[in-house]
Amino acid sequence: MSQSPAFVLNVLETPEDPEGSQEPSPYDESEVHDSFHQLIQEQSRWVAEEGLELQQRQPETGALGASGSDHETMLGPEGAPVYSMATLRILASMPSRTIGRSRGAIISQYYSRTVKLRRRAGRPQLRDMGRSARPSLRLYDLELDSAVLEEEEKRGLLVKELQGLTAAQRDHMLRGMPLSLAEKRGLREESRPPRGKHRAQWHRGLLSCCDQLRDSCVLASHNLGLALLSGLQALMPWHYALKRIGGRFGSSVLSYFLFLKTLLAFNTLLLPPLLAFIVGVQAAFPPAPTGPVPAFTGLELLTGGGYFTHSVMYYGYYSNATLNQPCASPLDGSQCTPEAGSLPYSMPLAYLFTLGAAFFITCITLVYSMSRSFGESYRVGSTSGVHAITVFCSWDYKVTQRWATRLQHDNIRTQLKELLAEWQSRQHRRSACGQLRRVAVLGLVWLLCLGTTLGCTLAVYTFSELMIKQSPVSAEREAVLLLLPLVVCLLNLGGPYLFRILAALERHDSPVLEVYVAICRNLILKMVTLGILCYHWLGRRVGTLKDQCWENFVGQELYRLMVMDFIFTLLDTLLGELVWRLFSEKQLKRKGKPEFDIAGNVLELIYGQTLTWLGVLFSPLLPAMQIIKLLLLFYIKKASLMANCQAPRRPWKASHMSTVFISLLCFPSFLGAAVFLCYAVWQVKPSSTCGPFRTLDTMYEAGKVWVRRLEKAGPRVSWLPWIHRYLVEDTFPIYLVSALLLAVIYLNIQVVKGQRKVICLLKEQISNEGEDKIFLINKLQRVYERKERSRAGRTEEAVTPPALLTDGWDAQ
Amino acid sequence: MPELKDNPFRQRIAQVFSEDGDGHMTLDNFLDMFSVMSEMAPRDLKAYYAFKIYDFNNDDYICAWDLEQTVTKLTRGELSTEEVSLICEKVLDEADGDHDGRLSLEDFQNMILRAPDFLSTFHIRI
Repeated sequence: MSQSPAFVLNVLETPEDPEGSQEPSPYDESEVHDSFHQLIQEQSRWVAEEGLELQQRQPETGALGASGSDHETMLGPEGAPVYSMATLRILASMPSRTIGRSRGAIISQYYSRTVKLRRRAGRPQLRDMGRSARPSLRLYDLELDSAVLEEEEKRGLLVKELQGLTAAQRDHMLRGMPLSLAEKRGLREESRPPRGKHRAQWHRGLLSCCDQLRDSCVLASHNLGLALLSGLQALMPWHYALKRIGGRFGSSVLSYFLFLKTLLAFNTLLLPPLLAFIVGVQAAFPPAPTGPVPAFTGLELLTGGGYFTHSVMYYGYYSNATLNQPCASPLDGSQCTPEAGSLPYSMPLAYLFTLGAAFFITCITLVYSMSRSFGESYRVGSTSGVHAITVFCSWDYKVTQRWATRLQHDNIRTQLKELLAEWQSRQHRRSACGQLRRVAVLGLVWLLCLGTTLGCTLAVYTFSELMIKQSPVSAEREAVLLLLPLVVCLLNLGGPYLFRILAALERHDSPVLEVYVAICRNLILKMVTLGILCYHWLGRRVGTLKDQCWENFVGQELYRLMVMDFIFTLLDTLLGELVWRLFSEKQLKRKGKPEFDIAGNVLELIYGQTLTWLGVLFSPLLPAMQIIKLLLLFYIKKASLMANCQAPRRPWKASHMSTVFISLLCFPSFLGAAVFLCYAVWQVKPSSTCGPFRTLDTMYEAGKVWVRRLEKAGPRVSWLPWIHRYLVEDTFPIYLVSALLLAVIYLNIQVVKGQRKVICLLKEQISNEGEDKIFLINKLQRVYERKERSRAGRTEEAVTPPALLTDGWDAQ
Repeated sequence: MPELKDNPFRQRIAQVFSEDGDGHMTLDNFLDMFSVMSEMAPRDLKAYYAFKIYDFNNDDYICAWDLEQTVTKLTRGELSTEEVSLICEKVLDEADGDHDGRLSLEDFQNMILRAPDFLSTFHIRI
């Protein structure tokens, strides 16, 4: 019992491949299993015959790395009293137990990793292949040859291997080692390249100088990057406010505010090109005024007309000519002399291309953020580990103040309760009759909701036709124009409340599903209403406003809608949250505050953003207005939330909410706006009295005219008209691109499916290994028990002459 | 040390990083701790030390008792006993790969790989 016994395994040697990289695969398990069986039988026989000593055998092809630690003196787990001391000692020296313990094990582990790193390109030597019956331990090749190395020798080997790596690899390896800093420093010192001979010293010196220079450059840029990152972190707006909200109300309410921040980012992305290329240029070269400018009354802020009509706000202000022409005024017949420093700027082209480019960038950013959001929240197999991740990864160690840690405790407690509630609600099962009843109620409620939507649509249509009959509206009765936005906003406000009342009839299992259904219904209502309005503008108004500036009118309508929407959101916050809280506290004497309606508020945001995107063609300053609106909304909503609302009563997981919101922003909202704008640019005739496209048949013609002019300009720029003719106007490339996109999507889906299968297989394998381990431990325990019993038996027979026993042994 | 004053795991952190395991840290131990908790430490290193922190009884496995201690410390004891044990059960269901009733270092590292925000939460800013 003096030495720690080493289990060795004779693995049948598989023929070496030329690559030499084959190791016994898990599928050779039958051989391995048989050898185990053999081994256990042998060992138990020896133990029964000779007592305790298990000799250390000469391993032929490798060792089952159970003797990882030489200086192991730890005892096994205290909580397993059924095991004998010998079993415990073996258990304690298992490689999975020694990883975390001894420095020697860590050093050996990193030695083997370094070796693998260095010899990755070349053929790995057979000596390094730790043949083990447990493939999962292959990472931890603790013993590379049979001799048990002293720690100092191991350290020396590690240093030698580190010297063979490049500086970057060495640093990376050292950084990942779980050793103390002092030891890492020592290893780094020792593994620096040694000084060369005197002859090559100059060469070495130059190289090390270059190396040092490069290292210091890399280090400096790294530090700069870190400083920038931390600076950006401090600059991130509302960081503290969002943390407070998350701490008090949970991640579900926080997702609304994060979405607001995302929308702000999108508008901030959209605005600068418009400002620089359209608004700024036209403001620098104002066109001749067409008539008397009306005086500024306060009503313009609501209606967007009057004083604002002939300003950079609307489409009609922009000229259709080339600004800043080199020829100021051509003298009769003579050549124009170009003025110094002048650059002709074609306004129609700039208008078209800037809008196109801005939308294209927005589209790319939207799709990218959507795919990144999907990538983060839908990791393969990520839905399965939520509890573990919440327990281990949710405590933020950065938090230092007492009240902030208290917030965190609350947050984590809420999250854990949310998880438990969802799990428990999934356990509850229903009878068949109850299921049928539930489906019937669901169908009825959906029917009612769709009926309400249809009613609202008809109301908007009728009212818009009424407004057409009312036009033209004189300047004094401009307030009448506010009626249509008023009606639309009223319906948008009342509809969700009605849906919420109807939804109280149906009972869903999971609160997440409830929210999704509510979002769906509200979305249908809003999108159908907007669709009717778009038809009203592009289909009817264009016809009735002949010889007038219909684009200005549409721009003003959208402005009015945005302002009304903002006012009604404020009203909703006031009435729905503040007044309701006061009412329920004073009159109804209830303690509970109203819940924050996440779905409704998010859809309001998406609706507002859709209006912005719809209107940007007709009113280039609309994104600026949206930015101001979002900023005000953030503070108002935050104040109301803190004062009047409580966290959602039925806790629900908000992990995928941001992905859902961004997808909703992309698909119905941005796509709808893009379709509307494409139709307006390609199909509708621009008005002939105002705007940059007044002489053309469609807005797109400006681009076509330019391309024709380029064609005439000469062969040097012929590639651009060629691109235009064969790639843009021809439909074949579009089909090709769509087909490629579909193929890429299909491939990705298949890859993910394959990864899921592999993960399942690996999980099964791990669980089988666990069972094997338990089996072996039990066998081992039985072996030692038998040994104990036989020893106890032998001490009783101590008086028996040994000759009898020897005879017994010889007989076997 | 103000950064850890209200951290529920401050005792475990001190025990893990101190040389003799009883919480008394030398300057080198201090440096080790901040090096591991800094932004540049690789994920595996952080996972290794996080595992040691959450292993309350130092037996190289996170067993059910360790999990109960962790959850209690996280929620300041405000969850009921059944809720705590339910959570521990679910954690073991999800993360225990070889079904031996406790989490080994590999199980823990495998689980950390699926958590995208581990690197940002296991981080102390100096």
